[in-house]
Amino acid sequence: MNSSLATETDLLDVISLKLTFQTVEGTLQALDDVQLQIAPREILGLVGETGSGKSVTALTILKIVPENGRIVQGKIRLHGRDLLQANEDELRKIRGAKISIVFQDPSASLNPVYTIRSQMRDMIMSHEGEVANLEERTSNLLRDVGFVYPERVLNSYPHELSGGMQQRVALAMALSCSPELLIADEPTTALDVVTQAQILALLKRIRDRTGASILLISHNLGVIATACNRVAVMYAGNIVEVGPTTEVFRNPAHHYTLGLLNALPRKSAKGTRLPTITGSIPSLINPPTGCRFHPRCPYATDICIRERPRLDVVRPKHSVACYHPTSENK
Amino acid sequence: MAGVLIILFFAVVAVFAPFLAPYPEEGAGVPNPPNKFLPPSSAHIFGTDYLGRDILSRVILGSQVSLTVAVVVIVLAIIIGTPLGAIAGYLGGGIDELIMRITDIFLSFPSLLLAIMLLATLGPGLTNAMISLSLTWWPWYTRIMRAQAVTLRERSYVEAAKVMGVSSFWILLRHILPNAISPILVQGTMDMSSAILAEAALSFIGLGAQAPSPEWGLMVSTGRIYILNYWWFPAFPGLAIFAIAVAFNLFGDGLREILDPKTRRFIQA
Amino acid sequence: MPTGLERYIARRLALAIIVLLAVVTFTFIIARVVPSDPAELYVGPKATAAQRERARIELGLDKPLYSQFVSYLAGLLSGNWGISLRAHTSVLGDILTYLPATLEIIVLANIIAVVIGIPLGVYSAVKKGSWLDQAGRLWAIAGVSIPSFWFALLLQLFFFGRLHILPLEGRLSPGVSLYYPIDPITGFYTIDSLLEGNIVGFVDTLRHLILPAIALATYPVGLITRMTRSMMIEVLRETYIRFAKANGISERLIIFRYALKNAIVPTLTVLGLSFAYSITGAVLIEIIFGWPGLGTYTLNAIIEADYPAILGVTILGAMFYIFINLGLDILQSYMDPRVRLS
Repeated sequence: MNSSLATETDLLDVISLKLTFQTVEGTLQALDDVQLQIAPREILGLVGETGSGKSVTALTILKIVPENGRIVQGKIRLHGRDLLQANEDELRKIRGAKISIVFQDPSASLNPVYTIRSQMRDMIMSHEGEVANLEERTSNLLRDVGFVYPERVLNSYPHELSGGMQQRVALAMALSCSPELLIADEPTTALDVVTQAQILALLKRIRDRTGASILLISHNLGVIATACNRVAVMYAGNIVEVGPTTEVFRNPAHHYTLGLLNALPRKSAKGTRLPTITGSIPSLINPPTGCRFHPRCPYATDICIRERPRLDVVRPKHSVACYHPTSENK
Repeated sequence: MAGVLIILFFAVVAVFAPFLAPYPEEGAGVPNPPNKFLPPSSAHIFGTDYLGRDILSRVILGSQVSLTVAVVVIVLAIIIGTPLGAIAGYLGGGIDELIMRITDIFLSFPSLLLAIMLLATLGPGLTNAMISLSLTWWPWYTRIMRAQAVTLRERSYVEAAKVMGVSSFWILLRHILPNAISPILVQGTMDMSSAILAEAALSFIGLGAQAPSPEWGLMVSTGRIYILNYWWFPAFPGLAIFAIAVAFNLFGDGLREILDPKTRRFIQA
Repeated sequence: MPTGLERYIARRLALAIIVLLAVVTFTFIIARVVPSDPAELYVGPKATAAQRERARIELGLDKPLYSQFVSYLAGLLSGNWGISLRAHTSVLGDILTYLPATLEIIVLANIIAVVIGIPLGVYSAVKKGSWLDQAGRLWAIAGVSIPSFWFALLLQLFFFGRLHILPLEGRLSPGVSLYYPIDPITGFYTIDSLLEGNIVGFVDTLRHLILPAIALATYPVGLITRMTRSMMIEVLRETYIRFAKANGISERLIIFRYALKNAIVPTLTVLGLSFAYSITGAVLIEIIFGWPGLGTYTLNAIIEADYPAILGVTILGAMFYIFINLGLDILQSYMDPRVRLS
């Protein structure tokens, strides 16, 4: 099933991931059938609205599932090995060392009662035990993320640093053991635009220098366009479109993607309404049958309501999960 | 939860005490010397005390006292403390400072010591004990209420009401009080347990209920010297105190789980 | 430039002193407003009116209230806490004689509470939802609900009455105080006996200390277990815990270094409350165990309306409470750097 999209050289391969949450109101179908491939040395963007399942996917890759969540099916292959079969010990070795993550709110990501030095040491020592020249290594890691005076930062407590600095520290910590994949979950959302640009530039530098891949999650198309060479669009627990960034943004094949791009505020004639996508995100407890986007799609037909479309190639390296991709209608 | 059931049990017992007690007159205090120090048996399930009175009856009648204490002390404390806290939190400034400093002073006293001092002034007795305890307890509610008022006064609906010219009194009554009630309720239920324990302690020292009241603390105190030979005398009343204190605490704990949005996570469906 | 921590300490200290002053004033007013006549108590019921009058002047009761207050305040600061009306001895002297006995129980009780309560609370929080957690919660509730005086009696019944392994009351067995007397250097028998190398005395002291301490510890154990558990649960939900876990930091490190340090801070506040409770709880425990401590002293003072003594003890209690809380606040701000800003 869709193995045409997976290649042997893939770093990470998410196959048919399905996840549910038990809530008071019923079972929430959070992830329906998520397919993702991340190659080495690439920055893959994962874009979607709040509630689409982006962050859940990120945490599930690290097999961090809350108490009421259940992975119903799927595989997450790192270099071919299924992470979902690994035990807690093996996972701990992978987390931080092979796959790292930074979160949206950097001020919440750092422990308020310990210095930066302390936390970075804990990170490194958790994976590598006692290490010589720890001080030098932490200073270098901080320099790599752009700090000019690492000693000052090392001596500080998190609340003494600005948001941008905190996020850079979080990145330094995540990179301290040279992971192959860095997951950045909305890394810039909590920051101002200028700092945002700095962080994105930093991410690209990291990829260039270390060869790590980055899964960059965001709801902001501008962020994706700036930093990612490939992008996957997520809607209501499914990947609906994936391909090179410029390609997808210029020729969006899925109507949801098209809607997103059209909704970007542009210089339009005064007095005209800003275009939106009609309707709203469906309830994930009783999701729509077939293609989950069909209630909002002007081109939906019978088959869209009956059967969920699978990802299929429409243009070179560009796949979409739709029975009536836009190229048809052009 | 379990707490509610136990409390209801005690409440029923308290209300119907005179009918439930097997030896109601002895329960109230009438001595029966020939029956001194009888160990627990089918005729006297909890045994008899130094005056021959059936302990089970005494304990059952004592439940009336305990529940009264719990309710009176805490309700009084809430009535005194909550408005003060609401005023302090809402109005802020000088009044806030004044009220909070007074609260701080009260809270700097180890509470039982303060109650003892007040009782020394007022004279021993159950009613005075209840009053003294209320007077030591109200500051806690002032603090809670003030914290709530300070948070709530920033809320938009309060600002809207102010802009529309609603008087402060009404704002406090209709907007702030109802929303702040839940932490007060939680604290109040758990404090009822502490109030019972405190009152029992006061009676134990001799400053609270006086003989022949079937108050549990007093019974433990009178029975204290017999613990080694006639253990049932102080043991069962103390057990009753324990049971009702546990009940109130369980209830308050359960209440907090329900009312606190933070702990009210995904309940397993 | 003073550091944030130093400024914080200075501020809190100033506040503590102001509150203490208010407490003293308040207590003084209550003590003077009371109906009974201190002079009468001083000279006894058989005294003549003239003797009573002389007593009034001697005790300074003829002077206006504020002047009495000022001299009382001056006395406090210079170490003269008044004369016990009943015993005609220095109140401060009496207090210092009886204080160590009480402190020994209180300190031991709180140590027990911390040593049992914190690990139990942590374990309970980490294994949330399991039967261990339920047991922990029930334990905590039981702890705060037990009437300590009742529990003390049960302990006596069980360990002395039935098992005969621990003594009934007092600080020392009569045999030990005769043949292995402890020289009261500090008043703390545990310390004093060790200082002299008096092992028999030390062991005997511990045997007498253990039951009162356990009885006094029930409430603190419940409080600390409950607080630690709920704080740990809250902290374990925080994003920085998720960040640490997601990036591979070991579970052990997360619980004991990361989470615990954050959770400990509010737990310390509870310790302050627990000490305050211990002060009043000690009164009850001392009665039951015949312990010659401050609790018994206070009770007698109250029963005999010995106002200087009552005043002295209340002020001491308040001082104790205020400064324990101050200490805990400072400790808290040392451990949680964010607190220094507020």
